[in-house]
Amino acid sequence: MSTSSTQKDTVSTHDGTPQITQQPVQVAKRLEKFKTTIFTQMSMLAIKHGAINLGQGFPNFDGPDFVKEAAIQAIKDGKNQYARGYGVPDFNNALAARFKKDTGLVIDPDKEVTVTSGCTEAIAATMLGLINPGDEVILFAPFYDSYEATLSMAGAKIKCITLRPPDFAVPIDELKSAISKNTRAILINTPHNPTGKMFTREELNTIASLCIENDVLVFMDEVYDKLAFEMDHISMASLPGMYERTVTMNSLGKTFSLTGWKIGWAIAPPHLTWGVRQAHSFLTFATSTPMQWAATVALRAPDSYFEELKRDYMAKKAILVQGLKDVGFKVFPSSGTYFVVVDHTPFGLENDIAFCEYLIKEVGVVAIPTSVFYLNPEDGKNLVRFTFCKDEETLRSAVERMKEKLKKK
Amino acid sequence: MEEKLSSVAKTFTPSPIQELSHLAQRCNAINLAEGFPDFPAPPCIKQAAVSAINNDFNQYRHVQGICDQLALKMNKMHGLNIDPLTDIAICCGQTEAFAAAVFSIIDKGDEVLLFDPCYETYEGCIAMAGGIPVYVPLDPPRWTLDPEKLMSSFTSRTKAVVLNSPHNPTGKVFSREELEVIAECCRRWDCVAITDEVYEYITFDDQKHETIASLPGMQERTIITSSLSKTFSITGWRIGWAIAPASAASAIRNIHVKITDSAPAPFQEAALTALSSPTKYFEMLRIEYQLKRDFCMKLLNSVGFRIQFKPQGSFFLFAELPKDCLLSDVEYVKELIRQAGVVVVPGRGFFHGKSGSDQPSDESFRHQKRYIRVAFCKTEARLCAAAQKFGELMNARGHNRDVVSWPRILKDITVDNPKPILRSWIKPSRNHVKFNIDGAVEGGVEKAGIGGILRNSDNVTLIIFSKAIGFSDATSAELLTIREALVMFAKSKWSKQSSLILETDCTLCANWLESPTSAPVSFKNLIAYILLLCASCVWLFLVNTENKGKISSQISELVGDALLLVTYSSLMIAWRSILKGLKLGLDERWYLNLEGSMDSEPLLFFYGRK
Repeated sequence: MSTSSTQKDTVSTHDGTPQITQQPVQVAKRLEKFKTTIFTQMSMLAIKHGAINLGQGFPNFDGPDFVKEAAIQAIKDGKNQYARGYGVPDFNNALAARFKKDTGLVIDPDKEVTVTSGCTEAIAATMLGLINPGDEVILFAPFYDSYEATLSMAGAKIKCITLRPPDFAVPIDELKSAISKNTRAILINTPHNPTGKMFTREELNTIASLCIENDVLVFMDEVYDKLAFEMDHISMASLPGMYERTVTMNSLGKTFSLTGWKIGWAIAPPHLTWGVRQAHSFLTFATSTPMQWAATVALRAPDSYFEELKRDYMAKKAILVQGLKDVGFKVFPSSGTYFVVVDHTPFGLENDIAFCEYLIKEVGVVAIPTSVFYLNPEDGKNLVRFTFCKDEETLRSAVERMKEKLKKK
Repeated sequence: MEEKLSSVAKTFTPSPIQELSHLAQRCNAINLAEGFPDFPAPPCIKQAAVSAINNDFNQYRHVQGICDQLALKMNKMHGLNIDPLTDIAICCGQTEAFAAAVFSIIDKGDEVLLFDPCYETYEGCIAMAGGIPVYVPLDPPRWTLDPEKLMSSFTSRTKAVVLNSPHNPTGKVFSREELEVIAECCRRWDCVAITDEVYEYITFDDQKHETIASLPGMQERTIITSSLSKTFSITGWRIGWAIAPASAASAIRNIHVKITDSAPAPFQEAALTALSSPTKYFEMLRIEYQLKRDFCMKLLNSVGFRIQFKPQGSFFLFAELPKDCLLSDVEYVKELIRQAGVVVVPGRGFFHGKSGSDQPSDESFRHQKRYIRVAFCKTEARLCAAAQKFGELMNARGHNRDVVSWPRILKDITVDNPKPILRSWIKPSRNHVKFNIDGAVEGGVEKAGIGGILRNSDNVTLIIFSKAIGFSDATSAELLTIREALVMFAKSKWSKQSSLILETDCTLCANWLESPTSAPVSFKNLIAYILLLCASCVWLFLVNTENKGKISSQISELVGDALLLVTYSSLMIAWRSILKGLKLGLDERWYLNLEGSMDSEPLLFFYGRK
């Protein structure tokens, strides 16, 4: 048995005042490389320079009144204590109904739906509940930054397949050689952040057959499913033979412009839901009660709400995309989400981070450097991501600023 | 597909608490099991959340103000210097803060010490992070920490100790000595303490909650987790935090961002309101929960329990089944649901049996199946309903016990009409002294006197006073008594160490205590006096005019004398009343300025007709 030496000078009991000399608290090895996210860094720079923020993906307009009213009513009605761990029953029912409407599948709300604090937690709970240390998981790069972190926490081995411009199509051959009987799961985000790509039926079918062949689980992040512009969104779970091996995750935030409410969910067959629920109960135990009640109301919104949502976003997208093209970016087509990636190299900066810093300081607009979304940052150095989830005036101002100050080299 | 589950998920079983809840629901039982309040959250905090939603605080955010307020609180309560910019991570409830803390420092194979019995969730988190939970049993019946047991549980692989104080399920608050033992071990073995302090504001009987981080050499190796949930009865809002040295807090924050990204935005805003609640809120919280604790203890005693450990904090009572009861905890709970319609939690789920590699003898672990946990974070109505059920159960068995009733001061006063009013009954939080006072007048307006007697809680008399105050009316006498008593108390040596209970039968004094710098006036009396004054003047005038002869002189003499007296008194009273009403301040005695002379407001207790 070893005792720690007292060389560290952490004990100073003589006068009773604790001195903070060394920091004996050490961070677990698996997480040492995760620092403050790029989003926070960019936001802080943006505020400092008074830049227009087209970087971080949340709206600068608010959610619909009828949903906010429902939350207020829930608070006033005293719905402020712990909800059932995996979701308020009414909300689970509404989720099952919505899922049926969207995919045609009939599910049991109490056994196959789990409510989480945002889709981020659904992803974390799925990874931690269903992945063993050492398991192989396939990811498509570029990917939302929490995937890598939570897979690390679960101790998984990550295999990465890069989607490349101009159309970010799935490289089928690469996929076929990556996937094997040793693969535990594959994580797919469609519509895709940051590229805006939507997986086509052909791509999904191919992936599906590979998964069935190799007995692989599929984790689907579909938070932008209601922001599908150029084609219809397809849920992997709705493909033949796929529901029993798929966890479908989604959230309220993007569809209803209430990203701060943290209402998400995971839909999966009972034997997978169980693992997700175990992890969830130790991560957050329960999800915000009044917001779940409000979300129940939100999900029952009429079709007109979703149609108007799409129309609004398409108008915004048009403004941004045309503007970016006029400024001189090479703009890649984005079929869904409220993001678009562009190639910044015409402006002569050496990589995406340098370009973004330049854009904030000299032009007064924020974009996100995409290298953080790749396992190998080199893959993303030519691309940056803009968002159009801002009001039209903000978008126009940003475009004006770029037209004025961003000059090609 | 079962083989697809992670090995960690396979070891988890559904919560026994939840299963019993379902049985209870089916039987429509009174739920004293689950640890969350059934009464509403404070209105001003709810309002703050509503405003936040209306004012569009609905997108991802981090409200730095929460960190600023927490840093202030930690400094005020524990003398800790926390940097609000770097040392605090806001999370979705204490649950997430704890999970993130565990993930931030536990690597695969690290051992984590836990005190048994303990809340069931810690183990799951540790297992998910690849850690190994090691249990250190607390010794019944008082759940004391045996330093030997603790020290022998440390190995070279021990990375952290989890400390939940005030403690769920036992209600124990770790004493300073125990904290020092744990601290010494942490320093010696270079371990981290992860604390769960969600019940930090719910302590009883002068017991103060101390955080281990305030001990020497501990702040740099402690991660404090806590939340708003229990303090403000908003368990469903998911606002919690971790406070730790900057490097750990930063790791926790980064992990939190990957797990949930942000705590619910509107509730973060409301947290600012909650955290700036006045001291009185926290006082009342303790007092009310203490009352409920005492009631529950009485309740259990009435059905045969002998509670050996009175909870010092949290809102749980961990009671050993009566010696003559042969049932196990689970059997008892089921019977209780079926026969009495009350549900509590069997204690075995909180114990984790064998520690180390010793084979346990049945005897030494028998106690693990002999406890039930009762939650008293319920309304008075619900607790009384439970008492009712218990009473019926005992009567049905021929025990003929009285139903334990909520303490009602007015029980002994028989006033048929009007009904007595219970304004408030709150047991003082510390030693109290009681001033019984009264002002009296001989007749309507006459010579008046005031008096009072001050006693402490052991019934020892501390002050007696009695004095004449000249001519006065009853109301003024009452008020003057109160003022005199308050001034006397404020100047006495007991004002800094005791709470004051003021016992009087004057209803006006309630208003006066609320705004002590305005002289109280009873307008009814004022009008009466003025009218009387006018009547007297009129009579005097009549008596002294030519009409004198018309009234028999004898009668008029008698009546005249009486009226003169009445008139004289009324003049004085009316004059004073008018002055009071105009607040001209001629009579300084009426102004009550006791700011700073007493540590807490006197608790007002009065009885009488409204």
